[in-house]
Amino acid sequence: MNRTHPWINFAAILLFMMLYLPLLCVVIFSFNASRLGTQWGGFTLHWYTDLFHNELILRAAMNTLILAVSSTLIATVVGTALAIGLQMAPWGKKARRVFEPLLNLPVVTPDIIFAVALVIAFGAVRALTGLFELGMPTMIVGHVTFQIAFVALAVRSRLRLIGTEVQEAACDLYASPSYLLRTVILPLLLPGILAGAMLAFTLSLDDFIISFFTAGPKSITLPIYIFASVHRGVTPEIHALSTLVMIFTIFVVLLLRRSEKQNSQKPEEKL
Amino acid sequence: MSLIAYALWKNYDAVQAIANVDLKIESGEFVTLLGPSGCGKTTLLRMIAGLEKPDSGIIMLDGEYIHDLPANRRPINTVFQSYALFPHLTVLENVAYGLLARKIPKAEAFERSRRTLDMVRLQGMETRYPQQMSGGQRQRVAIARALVNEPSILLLDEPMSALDAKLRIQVQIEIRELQQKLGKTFIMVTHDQNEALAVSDRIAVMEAGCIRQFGPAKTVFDKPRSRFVADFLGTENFIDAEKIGDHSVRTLWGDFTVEDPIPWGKGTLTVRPENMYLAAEGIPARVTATLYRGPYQILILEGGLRMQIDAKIPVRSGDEIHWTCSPDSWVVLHG
Amino acid sequence: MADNNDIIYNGELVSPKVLRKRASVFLLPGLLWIGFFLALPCFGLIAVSFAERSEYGAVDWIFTFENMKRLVGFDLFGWSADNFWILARSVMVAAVSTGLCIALSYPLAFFLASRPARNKGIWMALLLVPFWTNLVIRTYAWLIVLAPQFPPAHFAARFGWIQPGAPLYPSMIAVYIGMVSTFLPFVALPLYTAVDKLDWSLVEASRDLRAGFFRTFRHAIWPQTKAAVAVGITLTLVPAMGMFVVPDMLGGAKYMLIGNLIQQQFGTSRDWPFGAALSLALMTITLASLLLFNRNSEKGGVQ
Repeated sequence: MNRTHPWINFAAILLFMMLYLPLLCVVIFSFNASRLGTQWGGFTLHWYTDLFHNELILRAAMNTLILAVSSTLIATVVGTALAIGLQMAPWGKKARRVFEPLLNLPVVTPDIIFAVALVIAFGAVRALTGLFELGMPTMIVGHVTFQIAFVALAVRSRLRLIGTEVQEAACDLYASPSYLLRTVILPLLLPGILAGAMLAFTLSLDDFIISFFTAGPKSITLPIYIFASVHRGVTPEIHALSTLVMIFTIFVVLLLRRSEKQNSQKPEEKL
Repeated sequence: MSLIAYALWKNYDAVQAIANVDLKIESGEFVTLLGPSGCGKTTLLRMIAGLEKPDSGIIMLDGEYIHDLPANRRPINTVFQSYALFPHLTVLENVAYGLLARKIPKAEAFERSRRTLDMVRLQGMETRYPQQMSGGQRQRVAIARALVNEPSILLLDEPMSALDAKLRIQVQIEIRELQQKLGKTFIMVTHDQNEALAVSDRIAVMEAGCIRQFGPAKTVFDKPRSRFVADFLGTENFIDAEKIGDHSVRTLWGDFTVEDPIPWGKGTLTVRPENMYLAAEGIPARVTATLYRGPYQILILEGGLRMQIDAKIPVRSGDEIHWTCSPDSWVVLHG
Repeated sequence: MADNNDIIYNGELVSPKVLRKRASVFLLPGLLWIGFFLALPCFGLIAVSFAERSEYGAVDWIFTFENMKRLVGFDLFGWSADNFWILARSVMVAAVSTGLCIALSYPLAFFLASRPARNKGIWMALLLVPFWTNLVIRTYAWLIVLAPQFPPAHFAARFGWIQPGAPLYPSMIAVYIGMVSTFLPFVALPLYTAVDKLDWSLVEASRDLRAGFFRTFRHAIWPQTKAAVAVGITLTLVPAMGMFVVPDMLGGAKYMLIGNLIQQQFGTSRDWPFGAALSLALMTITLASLLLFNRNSEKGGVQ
């Protein structure tokens, strides 16, 4: 495919500009010495250094990380087990008609309905047990709920690539079911588990709506902080914070791409 | 280690995969299950391995029932068609897998694995990974991985289908030599009759879930009992015949004396092209085509018969020739 | 004889019951989690939407149609069409944004597909970075671009769309800009995958036969990219209808969408039952449009 119409190239460049212009503005204005909106007042780095003294921001960053790490850990274990359990037994059509929708529900549900459902669930638990006041635990539970599905889907696709012949070979060579799981399935599954975990981690870092609805007063995350600050007034401090978040995002995305590439290679072609 | 399978049946939905199969294999034999795809040969092999469950029937190994044992408790190991090597383990770890699974200490397991790798001439490859090896080498790893466990029977599922033609011939010889050196019972599955003839003591020809004929390789080749077996083993000359005596028949070509007794009133005979020869008092026939095959040539006779003679004999298309064959080269088909 | 109920599964001889029990240990935690925290509450929404709001914002389990009535517009002051317009606006914004994304994704996808192979990865990464950048950041960033001092606002002021010296937000234009720039990668990525695999012989043949641009598109390009567009629509339309961040930052109180209204009920207004009713309405519209879309695509052979 060699010749593209110049109009297409022009349109595409324009669209890329549309995607990047706002982000570039944020980066540029993060160095703005003037606090006032969009008037340029000179170059400065002090907004960045100020960030590291802002208690609230540091706590929000910490919360974001704690949330992402804990929810990812839980979701990876539960999601991997879910995927393994799906292929471990010859489930019939009736069972699958329940499993498949449940597995796909978190992926297809719009964010806001997801958040509302969580809030109602937490309210119900609160009414019955007094637990689940909105805070970090509820946020973790909320994140895990959607992460499980993504991890399970990533692990399941990897499981399909592994195939059944290798499992039969292990049994032919005297392996017990648990030995087979330990020595063959889990090692071969690792790329899928890592890809799922990375995806879950990224989704958690990136999430706003679900965090927003399930957060408590003391468990603010960075996206929530930025959102609230913008409502109070946009400042270069926020731009600096956003720029750092964007850099971190780029880094995580590159890692994600690599782990997904490894996950889609058939085990036999690994080297 | 003798194996007896008796009255095995298996259905897949509405398809009869294995229909009333009986099989008796002696210790130290090389037996091949031969047949077209879908005939049930792989299913039968997997039943012996413990990877398929028969609907009914029994399997006995040395007098012990094994059909209700899971695969991981049968002293039988398999070389899979695509080898099924573990990609995340080194060659040595692959070969030692069965030993380690049975809790044999690491040192001993690795030592035995190294010796087996030497036996299949892969010494020095212990730390490589399967993906780094050629098809032929991977096959030898698969064989070593199975043999190191000293199974009573070694099963091979179309082991040479992934190899190129030249390598195939060489591997056939190697596998046969290995089997004879070890004196173990080998059961192989293939759809290639040349392969079966090259390595086997006995061949079981299968069709549609049944064993049509089971006997020494030479017998199956020289004296196929049914049309299917004859056809599969490469016979081309099928001649309709009518019985005119216990050992004589009448055909379109003339009357022949046949060594084997004739069991039917009307039936089919076959004769191999290489067993037919030119003879002055033989049956007259016109040559419609000649096919040069290097040291020999194939004459296509009017009516479709093929005969094989030395390439040096000058025969041309259109010539009248006379042919015959000895009574013992006629094969009487029973079905 | 082996126990007739046992089967051989992946090389293991075992009874299906034992197998299922063992698998359940692995399976149930995840399924129960999703079921309890997502599936069940979705049904709970129905119950809550028929309940009353108690004084301090909790839920009083008294059956009432109040929320349903408010949904269609009947509140304390008689009937108003406000809620209806919010709903209608949400659907329209979502539909138009999706349509724009599709139209704009084609040039983007063709551009990407026409890059030399060694550069494709870089361009792909360039498309993915905004895709993964936080929604809040991406959206508020437009507040800079649409500020009064910059070209877009000047441009709009010249045409009299806004007051001179005012920013280009809050406004419907800003909302559309925000929506399209948010969802563009969602459509462009699957479309790019399809365009990359395009059978160019069809396009060449169409050009050779001197077909115009639209005919070439309809006969050679559209059939091969239909499926990718379908994927893009499912990834865009549904989330767009429930979108909250973009209309909140770029649309303000004047241009509310249903996402904002729902958020209000669970935030400042603390009216869970009404919020549940609104969510129910959104869910219904979402499901309806998905079903409609599936049926149309089956008829049109998009699958």
